[in-house]
Amino acid sequence: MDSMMSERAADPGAAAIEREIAGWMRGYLAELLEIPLEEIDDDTSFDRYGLDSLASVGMIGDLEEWLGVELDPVLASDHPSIRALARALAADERRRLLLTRRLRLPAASRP
Amino acid sequence: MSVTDSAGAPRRGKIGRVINDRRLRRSQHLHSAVATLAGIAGLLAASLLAILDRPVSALDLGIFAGFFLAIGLGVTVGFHRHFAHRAFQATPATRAALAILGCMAAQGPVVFWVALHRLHHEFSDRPGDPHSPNLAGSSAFQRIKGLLHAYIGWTVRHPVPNANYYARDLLADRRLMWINRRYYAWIALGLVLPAALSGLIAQSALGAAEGLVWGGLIRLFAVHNIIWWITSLAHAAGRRDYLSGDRSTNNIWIALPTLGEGWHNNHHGFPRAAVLSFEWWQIDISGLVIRLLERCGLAWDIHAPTPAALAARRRGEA
Repeated sequence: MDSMMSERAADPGAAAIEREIAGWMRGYLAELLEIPLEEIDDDTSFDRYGLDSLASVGMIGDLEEWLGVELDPVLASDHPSIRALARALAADERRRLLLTRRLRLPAASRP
Repeated sequence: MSVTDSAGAPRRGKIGRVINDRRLRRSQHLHSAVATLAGIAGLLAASLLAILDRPVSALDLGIFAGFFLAIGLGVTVGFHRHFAHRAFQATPATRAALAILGCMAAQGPVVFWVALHRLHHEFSDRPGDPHSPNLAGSSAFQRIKGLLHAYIGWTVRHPVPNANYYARDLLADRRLMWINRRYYAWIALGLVLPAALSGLIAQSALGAAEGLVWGGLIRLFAVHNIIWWITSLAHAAGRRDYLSGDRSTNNIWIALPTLGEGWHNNHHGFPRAAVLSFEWWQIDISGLVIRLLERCGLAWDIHAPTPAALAARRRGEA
Protein backbone atom coordinates (compact mmCIF):
# COMPACT_ATOMS: atom_id res chain seq x y z
CA MET A 1 0.00 0.00 0.00
CA ASP A 2 2.84 2.35 0.90
CA SER A 3 4.65 1.71 -2.32
CA MET A 4 1.42 2.30 -4.22
CA MET A 5 0.88 5.65 -2.56
CA SER A 6 4.39 6.80 -3.28
CA GLU A 7 4.06 5.67 -6.88
CA ARG A 8 0.91 7.68 -7.28
CA ALA A 9 2.48 10.69 -5.68
CA ALA A 10 5.41 10.33 -8.04
CA ASP A 11 3.23 10.21 -11.14
CA PRO A 12 -0.36 11.42 -10.92
CA GLY A 13 -0.75 10.84 -14.68
CA ALA A 14 -0.07 7.13 -14.32
CA ALA A 15 -2.40 6.90 -11.33
CA ALA A 16 -5.25 8.46 -13.33
CA ILE A 17 -4.70 6.06 -16.22
CA GLU A 18 -4.62 3.13 -13.82
CA ARG A 19 -7.87 4.29 -12.20
CA GLU A 20 -9.67 4.71 -15.54
CA ILE A 21 -8.58 1.34 -16.88
CA ALA A 22 -9.44 -0.44 -13.63
CA GLY A 23 -12.88 1.17 -13.71
CA TRP A 24 -13.48 0.00 -17.27
CA MET A 25 -12.35 -3.51 -16.43
CA ARG A 26 -14.64 -3.74 -13.41
CA GLY A 27 -17.53 -2.84 -15.68
CA TYR A 28 -16.38 -5.39 -18.26
CA LEU A 29 -16.17 -8.27 -15.79
CA ALA A 30 -19.52 -7.32 -14.25
CA GLU A 31 -21.11 -7.41 -17.70
CA LEU A 32 -19.36 -10.61 -18.75
CA LEU A 33 -20.03 -12.54 -15.55
CA GLU A 34 -23.43 -10.95 -14.95
CA ILE A 35 -22.61 -10.04 -11.36
CA PRO A 36 -23.01 -6.67 -9.57
CA LEU A 37 -20.20 -4.16 -10.03
CA GLU A 38 -19.58 -4.01 -6.27
CA GLU A 39 -18.64 -7.68 -6.23
CA ILE A 40 -15.72 -7.18 -8.59
CA ASP A 41 -12.42 -7.13 -6.73
CA ASP A 42 -9.30 -5.57 -8.24
CA ASP A 43 -6.93 -8.14 -6.76
CA THR A 44 -8.82 -11.34 -7.55
CA SER A 45 -7.14 -13.14 -10.42
CA PHE A 46 -8.92 -13.40 -13.76
CA ASP A 47 -8.50 -17.14 -13.38
CA ARG A 48 -10.52 -17.11 -10.17
CA TYR A 49 -13.26 -15.28 -12.05
CA GLY A 50 -13.36 -18.21 -14.46
CA LEU A 51 -11.69 -16.42 -17.37
CA ASP A 52 -9.56 -18.85 -19.32
CA SER A 53 -6.98 -17.69 -21.86
CA LEU A 54 -9.56 -17.32 -24.64
CA ALA A 55 -11.84 -15.14 -22.51
CA SER A 56 -8.92 -12.96 -21.45
CA VAL A 57 -7.83 -12.59 -25.08
CA GLY A 58 -11.38 -11.41 -25.82
CA MET A 59 -11.22 -8.99 -22.90
CA ILE A 60 -7.88 -7.55 -24.04
CA GLY A 61 -9.35 -7.21 -27.55
CA ASP A 62 -12.24 -5.17 -26.18
CA LEU A 63 -9.89 -3.11 -24.01
CA GLU A 64 -7.80 -2.47 -27.12
CA GLU A 65 -10.90 -1.27 -28.95
CA TRP A 66 -11.85 1.06 -26.10
CA LEU A 67 -8.36 2.50 -25.66
CA GLY A 68 -7.64 2.70 -29.37
CA VAL A 69 -4.13 1.33 -28.89
CA GLU A 70 -2.71 -2.04 -29.85
CA LEU A 71 -2.12 -4.38 -26.92
CA ASP A 72 -0.50 -7.77 -26.61
CA PRO A 73 -3.37 -10.33 -26.73
CA VAL A 74 -1.80 -12.39 -23.92
CA LEU A 75 -1.30 -9.37 -21.64
CA ALA A 76 -3.77 -10.73 -19.10
CA SER A 77 -1.70 -13.86 -18.47
CA ASP A 78 1.30 -11.76 -17.53
CA HIS A 79 -0.76 -9.39 -15.39
CA PRO A 80 -3.56 -11.59 -14.08
CA SER A 81 -5.75 -9.18 -12.09
CA ILE A 82 -7.47 -5.86 -12.66
CA ARG A 83 -4.94 -3.99 -10.52
CA ALA A 84 -1.92 -5.72 -12.07
CA LEU A 85 -3.11 -5.16 -15.62
CA ALA A 86 -4.18 -1.55 -15.11
CA ARG A 87 -0.88 -0.76 -13.40
CA ALA A 88 1.17 -2.46 -16.12
CA LEU A 89 -0.58 -0.41 -18.79
CA ALA A 90 -0.16 2.82 -16.83
CA ALA A 91 3.50 2.05 -16.19
CA ASP A 92 4.42 2.03 -19.86
CA GLU A 93 5.90 5.50 -20.32
CA ARG A 94 5.87 5.43 -24.12
CA ARG A 95 2.16 4.80 -24.06
CA ARG A 96 1.27 7.16 -21.24
CA LEU A 97 0.89 10.29 -23.31
CA LEU A 98 -1.30 8.50 -25.86
CA LEU A 99 -3.49 6.97 -23.15
CA THR A 100 -3.79 10.30 -21.35
CA ARG A 101 -5.14 11.80 -24.55
CA ARG A 102 -7.42 8.85 -25.39
CA LEU A 103 -8.91 8.79 -21.91
CA ARG A 104 -9.30 12.59 -22.00
CA LEU A 105 -7.39 12.92 -18.75
CA PRO A 106 -5.78 16.17 -17.63
CA ALA A 107 -2.17 16.43 -18.77
CA ALA A 108 0.30 14.40 -16.73
CA SER A 109 2.14 17.42 -15.37
CA ARG A 110 -0.91 18.54 -13.41
CA PRO A 111 -1.40 17.03 -9.96
CA MET B 1 -22.75 9.30 -33.68
CA SER B 2 -23.62 5.93 -32.26
CA VAL B 3 -20.94 3.47 -31.33
CA THR B 4 -20.81 0.42 -33.55
CA ASP B 5 -18.41 -2.46 -33.52
CA SER B 6 -16.71 -3.64 -36.66
CA ALA B 7 -19.31 -6.28 -37.43
CA GLY B 8 -21.46 -3.23 -38.21
CA ALA B 9 -24.08 -3.58 -35.49
CA PRO B 10 -24.65 -1.31 -32.51
CA ARG B 11 -22.58 -2.32 -29.51
CA ARG B 12 -24.63 -3.42 -26.57
CA GLY B 13 -22.01 -2.85 -23.91
CA LYS B 14 -18.32 -3.24 -23.35
CA ILE B 15 -18.15 -6.70 -24.94
CA GLY B 16 -17.57 -6.45 -28.69
CA ARG B 17 -18.57 -9.01 -31.32
CA VAL B 18 -15.15 -9.22 -32.91
CA ILE B 19 -11.56 -8.69 -31.81
CA ASN B 20 -9.72 -6.22 -34.00
CA ASP B 21 -6.21 -7.47 -33.47
CA ARG B 22 -4.04 -7.76 -36.57
CA ARG B 23 -1.79 -10.46 -35.11
CA LEU B 24 -4.69 -12.65 -33.97
CA ARG B 25 -6.33 -12.30 -37.35
CA ARG B 26 -3.11 -13.12 -39.15
CA SER B 27 -2.42 -16.22 -37.07
CA GLN B 28 -5.97 -17.53 -37.62
CA HIS B 29 -5.70 -16.97 -41.35
CA LEU B 30 -2.31 -18.66 -41.45
CA HIS B 31 -3.91 -21.65 -39.71
CA SER B 32 -6.58 -21.83 -42.44
CA ALA B 33 -4.00 -21.62 -45.21
CA VAL B 34 -1.82 -24.36 -43.67
CA ALA B 35 -4.82 -26.70 -43.25
CA THR B 36 -5.88 -26.13 -46.87
CA LEU B 37 -2.35 -26.65 -48.21
CA ALA B 38 -1.97 -29.83 -46.11
CA GLY B 39 -5.12 -31.19 -47.75
CA ILE B 40 -3.84 -30.38 -51.24
CA ALA B 41 -0.46 -31.92 -50.37
CA GLY B 42 -2.39 -35.06 -49.40
CA LEU B 43 -4.04 -35.21 -52.81
CA LEU B 44 -0.64 -34.86 -54.51
CA ALA B 45 0.89 -37.50 -52.24
CA ALA B 46 -1.97 -39.90 -52.98
CA SER B 47 -1.47 -39.41 -56.72
CA LEU B 48 2.26 -40.07 -56.37
CA LEU B 49 1.66 -43.19 -54.26
CA ALA B 50 -0.86 -44.46 -56.81
CA ILE B 51 1.52 -43.91 -59.74
CA LEU B 52 4.76 -45.09 -58.14
CA ASP B 53 3.46 -47.90 -56.02
CA ARG B 54 0.03 -49.36 -56.55
CA PRO B 55 -3.44 -48.16 -57.42
CA VAL B 56 -5.74 -46.85 -54.68
CA SER B 57 -6.89 -49.81 -52.61
CA ALA B 58 -10.22 -50.62 -51.00
CA LEU B 59 -8.47 -50.17 -47.66
CA ASP B 60 -7.52 -46.58 -48.59
CA LEU B 61 -11.09 -45.75 -49.52
CA GLY B 62 -12.46 -47.49 -46.43
CA ILE B 63 -10.11 -45.58 -44.12
CA PHE B 64 -11.07 -42.34 -45.89
CA ALA B 65 -14.81 -43.05 -45.61
CA GLY B 66 -14.62 -44.04 -41.95
CA PHE B 67 -12.68 -40.99 -40.83
CA PHE B 68 -14.62 -38.65 -43.13
CA LEU B 69 -17.86 -39.84 -41.54
CA ALA B 70 -16.64 -39.76 -37.92
CA ILE B 71 -14.90 -36.38 -38.12
CA GLY B 72 -17.54 -34.88 -40.43
CA LEU B 73 -20.18 -35.83 -37.86
CA GLY B 74 -17.99 -34.27 -35.16
CA VAL B 75 -18.44 -31.00 -37.06
CA THR B 76 -22.10 -31.32 -38.14
CA VAL B 77 -23.65 -33.11 -35.15
CA GLY B 78 -21.16 -31.79 -32.58
CA PHE B 79 -19.80 -28.32 -33.39
CA HIS B 80 -22.81 -27.24 -35.41
CA ARG B 81 -26.05 -28.68 -34.08
CA HIS B 82 -25.08 -29.45 -30.49
CA PHE B 83 -22.56 -26.77 -29.47
CA ALA B 84 -23.48 -23.83 -31.75
CA HIS B 85 -27.28 -24.25 -31.78
CA ARG B 86 -27.94 -26.36 -28.67
CA ALA B 87 -30.35 -28.38 -30.79
CA PHE B 88 -30.19 -31.32 -28.39
CA GLN B 89 -28.74 -32.26 -25.01
CA ALA B 90 -26.13 -35.00 -24.63
CA THR B 91 -24.20 -36.86 -21.93
CA PRO B 92 -20.79 -35.41 -20.95
CA ALA B 93 -18.97 -38.30 -22.64
CA THR B 94 -20.93 -37.77 -25.86
CA ARG B 95 -20.19 -34.04 -25.76
CA ALA B 96 -16.50 -34.75 -25.25
CA ALA B 97 -16.37 -37.26 -28.09
CA LEU B 98 -18.15 -34.87 -30.46
CA ALA B 99 -15.88 -31.98 -29.48
CA ILE B 100 -12.71 -34.05 -29.98
CA LEU B 101 -13.87 -35.41 -33.35
CA GLY B 102 -14.82 -31.90 -34.45
CA CYS B 103 -11.39 -30.52 -33.45
CA MET B 104 -9.76 -33.18 -35.65
CA ALA B 105 -11.30 -31.42 -38.68
CA ALA B 106 -8.78 -28.58 -38.19
CA GLN B 107 -11.44 -25.92 -38.74
CA GLY B 108 -10.56 -24.20 -35.48
CA PRO B 109 -11.15 -25.17 -31.84
CA VAL B 110 -14.78 -25.71 -30.83
CA VAL B 111 -15.15 -22.30 -29.13
CA PHE B 112 -13.85 -20.43 -32.19
CA TRP B 113 -15.99 -22.48 -34.59
CA VAL B 114 -19.14 -21.92 -32.55
CA ALA B 115 -18.46 -18.19 -32.09
CA LEU B 116 -17.88 -17.63 -35.82
CA HIS B 117 -20.96 -19.64 -36.69
CA ARG B 118 -23.19 -17.68 -34.32
CA LEU B 119 -21.76 -14.49 -35.86
CA HIS B 120 -22.74 -15.88 -39.29
CA HIS B 121 -26.33 -16.48 -38.16
CA GLU B 122 -26.62 -13.01 -36.64
CA PHE B 123 -25.71 -11.31 -39.93
CA SER B 124 -26.57 -14.03 -42.45
CA ASP B 125 -26.18 -12.56 -45.98
CA ARG B 126 -25.92 -9.03 -44.58
CA PRO B 127 -22.78 -6.95 -43.99
CA GLY B 128 -20.93 -8.57 -41.09
CA ASP B 129 -21.55 -12.15 -42.29
CA PRO B 130 -18.08 -13.71 -42.42
CA HIS B 131 -18.95 -15.91 -45.39
CA SER B 132 -21.79 -14.75 -47.63
CA PRO B 133 -21.65 -15.14 -51.43
CA ASN B 134 -24.25 -12.39 -51.80
CA LEU B 135 -22.44 -9.22 -50.75
CA ALA B 136 -20.07 -8.60 -53.65
CA GLY B 137 -22.63 -7.16 -56.08
CA SER B 138 -24.99 -8.41 -58.76
CA SER B 139 -23.03 -8.42 -62.03
CA ALA B 140 -21.87 -11.82 -63.31
CA PHE B 141 -18.29 -11.01 -62.33
CA GLN B 142 -19.33 -9.88 -58.84
CA ARG B 143 -21.45 -13.02 -58.39
CA ILE B 144 -18.42 -15.19 -59.13
CA LYS B 145 -16.27 -13.05 -56.86
CA GLY B 146 -18.85 -13.45 -54.08
CA LEU B 147 -18.96 -17.22 -54.52
CA LEU B 148 -15.17 -17.50 -54.45
CA HIS B 149 -15.09 -15.42 -51.27
CA ALA B 150 -17.78 -17.57 -49.60
CA TYR B 151 -16.08 -20.76 -50.75
CA ILE B 152 -12.48 -20.24 -49.71
CA GLY B 153 -11.54 -16.55 -49.65
CA TRP B 154 -13.27 -16.00 -46.31
CA THR B 155 -10.98 -18.53 -44.61
CA VAL B 156 -8.13 -16.02 -44.86
CA ARG B 157 -10.23 -12.87 -44.41
CA HIS B 158 -12.72 -13.54 -41.62
CA PRO B 159 -12.83 -11.44 -38.44
CA VAL B 160 -11.80 -12.91 -35.09
CA PRO B 161 -15.05 -13.53 -33.21
CA ASN B 162 -15.06 -12.59 -29.53
CA ALA B 163 -15.83 -15.72 -27.51
CA ASN B 164 -16.91 -13.54 -24.59
CA TYR B 165 -19.74 -12.25 -26.78
CA TYR B 166 -20.70 -15.33 -28.74
CA ALA B 167 -19.70 -18.39 -26.72
CA ARG B 168 -19.92 -17.53 -23.03
CA ASP B 169 -21.88 -20.76 -22.42
CA LEU B 170 -18.94 -22.81 -23.70
CA LEU B 171 -16.30 -20.83 -21.80
CA ALA B 172 -18.07 -21.78 -18.59
CA ASP B 173 -17.77 -25.49 -19.35
CA ARG B 174 -14.46 -26.58 -17.80
CA ARG B 175 -14.42 -30.00 -19.41
CA LEU B 176 -15.03 -28.57 -22.85
CA MET B 177 -12.34 -25.93 -22.35
CA TRP B 178 -9.89 -28.70 -21.45
CA ILE B 179 -10.58 -30.21 -24.87
CA ASN B 180 -10.51 -26.79 -26.56
CA ARG B 181 -7.03 -26.05 -25.18
CA ARG B 182 -5.66 -29.28 -26.64
CA TYR B 183 -6.88 -28.50 -30.15
CA TYR B 184 -3.58 -29.22 -31.91
CA ALA B 185 -3.24 -32.55 -30.12
CA TRP B 186 -6.63 -33.61 -31.51
CA ILE B 187 -5.59 -32.60 -35.02
CA ALA B 188 -2.46 -34.73 -34.61
CA LEU B 189 -4.53 -37.62 -33.29
CA GLY B 190 -6.77 -37.32 -36.35
CA LEU B 191 -3.71 -37.88 -38.52
CA VAL B 192 -2.03 -40.57 -36.39
CA LEU B 193 -5.14 -42.75 -35.92
CA PRO B 194 -5.84 -43.46 -39.62
CA ALA B 195 -2.11 -44.01 -40.22
CA ALA B 196 -1.88 -46.49 -37.33
CA LEU B 197 -5.07 -48.29 -38.28
CA SER B 198 -4.13 -48.61 -41.93
CA GLY B 199 -0.57 -49.64 -41.07
CA LEU B 200 -1.88 -52.37 -38.75
CA ILE B 201 -4.33 -53.73 -41.30
CA ALA B 202 -1.84 -53.62 -44.20
CA GLN B 203 1.03 -54.75 -41.95
CA SER B 204 3.38 -52.30 -43.64
CA ALA B 205 4.87 -48.84 -43.35
CA LEU B 206 3.51 -48.03 -46.77
CA GLY B 207 0.05 -48.92 -45.49
CA ALA B 208 0.57 -46.42 -42.66
CA ALA B 209 1.60 -43.74 -45.15
CA GLU B 210 -1.50 -44.42 -47.22
CA GLY B 211 -3.66 -44.22 -44.11
CA LEU B 212 -2.13 -40.84 -43.23
CA VAL B 213 -2.78 -39.57 -46.73
CA TRP B 214 -6.32 -40.93 -47.17
CA GLY B 215 -7.75 -40.93 -43.65
CA GLY B 216 -5.75 -37.85 -42.59
CA LEU B 217 -4.95 -35.31 -45.29
CA ILE B 218 -7.47 -36.06 -48.03
CA ARG B 219 -10.17 -36.51 -45.40
CA LEU B 220 -9.19 -33.10 -43.96
CA PHE B 221 -9.51 -31.53 -47.43
CA ALA B 222 -12.86 -33.25 -48.05
CA VAL B 223 -14.40 -32.11 -44.74
CA HIS B 224 -13.16 -28.57 -45.43
CA ASN B 225 -14.76 -28.68 -48.86
CA ILE B 226 -18.18 -29.84 -47.71
CA ILE B 227 -18.26 -26.93 -45.25
CA TRP B 228 -17.27 -24.57 -48.08
CA TRP B 229 -20.13 -25.87 -50.24
CA ILE B 230 -22.47 -24.84 -47.47
CA THR B 231 -20.92 -21.40 -46.89
CA SER B 232 -21.09 -20.63 -50.63
CA LEU B 233 -23.48 -22.72 -52.73
CA ALA B 234 -26.05 -23.23 -49.96
CA HIS B 235 -26.51 -19.46 -49.87
CA ALA B 236 -26.73 -19.11 -53.64
CA ALA B 237 -28.29 -21.99 -55.62
CA GLY B 238 -31.34 -24.12 -54.88
CA ARG B 239 -34.81 -24.00 -53.35
CA ARG B 240 -35.94 -21.63 -50.64
CA ASP B 241 -38.83 -23.41 -48.96
CA TYR B 242 -38.99 -21.40 -45.73
CA LEU B 243 -38.80 -17.74 -44.73
CA SER B 244 -35.36 -17.43 -43.21
CA GLY B 245 -34.49 -13.75 -43.67
CA ASP B 246 -31.50 -14.61 -45.82
CA ARG B 247 -30.51 -16.32 -49.10
CA SER B 248 -30.01 -19.85 -47.69
CA THR B 249 -31.11 -22.75 -49.90
CA ASN B 250 -32.01 -26.46 -49.90
CA ASN B 251 -30.22 -28.89 -52.24
CA ILE B 252 -30.33 -32.68 -52.11
CA TRP B 253 -27.02 -32.95 -53.97
CA ILE B 254 -25.35 -30.82 -51.32
CA ALA B 255 -27.25 -32.47 -48.48
CA LEU B 256 -25.93 -35.97 -49.19
CA PRO B 257 -22.16 -35.33 -49.04
CA THR B 258 -22.54 -32.69 -46.30
CA LEU B 259 -24.17 -35.26 -44.01
CA GLY B 260 -27.48 -33.36 -44.12
CA GLU B 261 -26.28 -29.78 -43.77
CA GLY B 262 -27.33 -29.02 -47.35
CA TRP B 263 -30.92 -28.58 -46.09
CA HIS B 264 -29.57 -25.19 -45.30
CA ASN B 265 -32.72 -23.17 -45.87
CA ASN B 266 -34.49 -25.50 -43.43
CA HIS B 267 -31.63 -24.81 -41.01
CA HIS B 268 -31.76 -21.00 -41.29
CA GLY B 269 -35.55 -21.10 -41.06
CA PHE B 270 -35.35 -23.21 -37.89
CA PRO B 271 -31.83 -22.87 -36.47
CA ARG B 272 -32.57 -24.93 -33.36
CA ALA B 273 -33.94 -27.92 -35.24
CA ALA B 274 -31.75 -30.96 -34.53
CA VAL B 275 -33.04 -32.90 -37.53
CA LEU B 276 -33.08 -30.95 -40.80
CA SER B 277 -35.22 -33.42 -42.71
CA PHE B 278 -38.68 -31.81 -42.86
CA GLU B 279 -39.92 -34.13 -45.65
CA TRP B 280 -39.61 -37.91 -45.82
CA TRP B 281 -37.32 -37.65 -48.85
CA GLN B 282 -34.98 -35.06 -47.30
CA ILE B 283 -32.12 -37.32 -46.27
CA ASP B 284 -30.21 -35.94 -43.27
CA ILE B 285 -27.47 -38.31 -42.14
CA SER B 286 -26.54 -36.13 -39.15
CA GLY B 287 -30.19 -36.07 -38.08
CA LEU B 288 -30.31 -39.87 -38.29
CA VAL B 289 -27.22 -40.07 -36.08
CA ILE B 290 -28.84 -37.73 -33.52
CA ARG B 291 -31.93 -39.99 -33.49
CA LEU B 292 -29.62 -42.97 -33.01
CA LEU B 293 -27.88 -41.24 -30.08
CA GLU B 294 -31.32 -40.59 -28.61
CA ARG B 295 -32.25 -44.27 -29.05
CA CYS B 296 -29.07 -45.21 -27.14
CA GLY B 297 -29.90 -42.79 -24.31
CA LEU B 298 -26.92 -40.55 -25.12
CA ALA B 299 -28.98 -37.58 -26.37
CA TRP B 300 -32.33 -36.06 -25.40
CA ASP B 301 -34.35 -32.84 -25.71
CA ILE B 302 -34.18 -33.11 -29.49
CA HIS B 303 -35.51 -29.77 -30.74
CA ALA B 304 -37.97 -30.04 -33.62
CA PRO B 305 -40.30 -27.40 -35.08
CA THR B 306 -44.01 -28.16 -34.71
CA PRO B 307 -46.09 -28.70 -37.89
CA ALA B 308 -47.77 -25.36 -37.17
CA ALA B 309 -44.41 -23.57 -36.96
CA LEU B 310 -43.33 -25.18 -40.22
CA ALA B 311 -46.56 -24.16 -41.95
CA ALA B 312 -46.26 -20.58 -40.67
CA ARG B 313 -42.84 -20.07 -42.21
CA ARG B 314 -43.51 -21.98 -45.40
CA ARG B 315 -43.08 -19.83 -48.51
CA GLY B 316 -45.80 -19.78 -51.12
CA GLU B 317 -45.02 -21.94 -54.15
CA ALA B 318 -43.20 -19.70 -56.58
